[in-house]
Amino acid sequence: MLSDAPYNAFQLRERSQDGCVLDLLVQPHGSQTAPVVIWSRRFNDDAGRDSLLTAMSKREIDIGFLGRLTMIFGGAALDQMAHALVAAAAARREKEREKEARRARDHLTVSLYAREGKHGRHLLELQRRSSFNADWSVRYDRAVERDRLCDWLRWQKDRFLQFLDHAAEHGDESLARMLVNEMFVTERRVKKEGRGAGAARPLRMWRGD
Amino acid sequence: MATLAPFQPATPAMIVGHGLGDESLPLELGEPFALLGGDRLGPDGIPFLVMHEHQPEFLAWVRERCAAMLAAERPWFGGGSLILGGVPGAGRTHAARWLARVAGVPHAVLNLTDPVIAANVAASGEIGEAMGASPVTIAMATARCANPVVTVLGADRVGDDVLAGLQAMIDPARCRRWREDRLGVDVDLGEVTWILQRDLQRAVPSWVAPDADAIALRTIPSGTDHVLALSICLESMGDLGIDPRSGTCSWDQISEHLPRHSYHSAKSLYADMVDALRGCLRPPDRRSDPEPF
Repeated sequence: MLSDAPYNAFQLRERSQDGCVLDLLVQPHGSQTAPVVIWSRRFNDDAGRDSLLTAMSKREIDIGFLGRLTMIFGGAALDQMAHALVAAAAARREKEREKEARRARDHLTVSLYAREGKHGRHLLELQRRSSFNADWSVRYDRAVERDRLCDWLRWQKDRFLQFLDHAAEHGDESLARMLVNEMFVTERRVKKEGRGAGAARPLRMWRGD
Repeated sequence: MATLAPFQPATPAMIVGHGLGDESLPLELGEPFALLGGDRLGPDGIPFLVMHEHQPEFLAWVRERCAAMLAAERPWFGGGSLILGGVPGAGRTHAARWLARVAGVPHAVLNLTDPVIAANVAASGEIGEAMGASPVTIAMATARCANPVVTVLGADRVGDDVLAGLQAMIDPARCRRWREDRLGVDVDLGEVTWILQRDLQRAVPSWVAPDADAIALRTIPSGTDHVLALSICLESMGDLGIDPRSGTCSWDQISEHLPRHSYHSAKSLYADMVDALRGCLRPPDRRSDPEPF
């Protein structure tokens, strides 16, 4: 890989027999002599090697400066810089991995929200933590209707993920119908057991089974 | 049987001083002075060692001059005349000084704004101060070298009388017999490399050096991790007698001793670099260490 600066005399090259070794070579512009290796480093993996090549292609490091530095002061400075770049790249990859794991965890975490929608509508929504929008939503004209379903649904937290899978498979309307049916069944059972609150929100005092 | 010594190419030389009679000339100007830099005119030599990748125009000029000397079969460094523009602090003096150092020739500064120097150049004789010889002649005589690099300051701001004197020093037709008035000697300045500095807002009259190349240096890069900082560091190390390979100072140590992270002027970077190198060489202060009873 050659820097595009005019008269650049330095290039960073992968060793052909061993791709995990990078050589820094010097060949003055216009010189007939063969390139001379002034610095070499073996990397434990391709990612470490790529971090140095990427930093150079992104112009984060100036190969001309590093080449001169190595010729003047020896390879210690370049060793130190390569070590720092590899460590920074490893830390970046670890951070990316953690972010991905968090995103996966958040995708499996679903919360229930009772919100006020447009035009005076009252919403009940299921939303994954990884998402900025509701994954399922049902709208009611009256708040008490929404709250009636909420009284039952809030105690079904363990099944939220299953509900979203159902919605993904059969549609939002199918899920809404299923939830309302299950709510009616529970209301009837709780009323029969004498634990209902009565009025428009029979499960208001219910705390799940 | 005696063994033959390895072949050493002869260093070209020339006699720069020309007197009237057979008397020996002052400053040994009648002796042959070396023409240096011929052993490093190739791509691996001066064009590579001069660094300055951040100033591609200057680098191109150096390469061109080295190639021209090789093509003309003149085995020494000769840059002719160059009008080097740039903002103050762009590193014009450093470029000339570093070029001289890698070419192995002396570097002299001819400051035309100094009235004594100006009088010497203009040969006006109106200034009373004693001026034995011009800085160019002194540089040549001190290093016994006939092809120094000379930085000319103030050519863009002095009067025509001084410029006429300067023109006599540069003009290829007349420079071979430039008169050192006080020495009473004609000096051959034909192999001198002239670098005339000019500010970007000013100009050197075209009649002073009509054949001169002209380039302008770019502003110096930001930060301190660049090739200019390294070449200034090497210049400073040379001035302080520090061998970079000795391991006395690392670049990290030097960078830590620099008081600023970025510079707008090569001059201030040089000054701080010298201080930083002195700081690196200074033994650590142990007086504050608590002494046990």
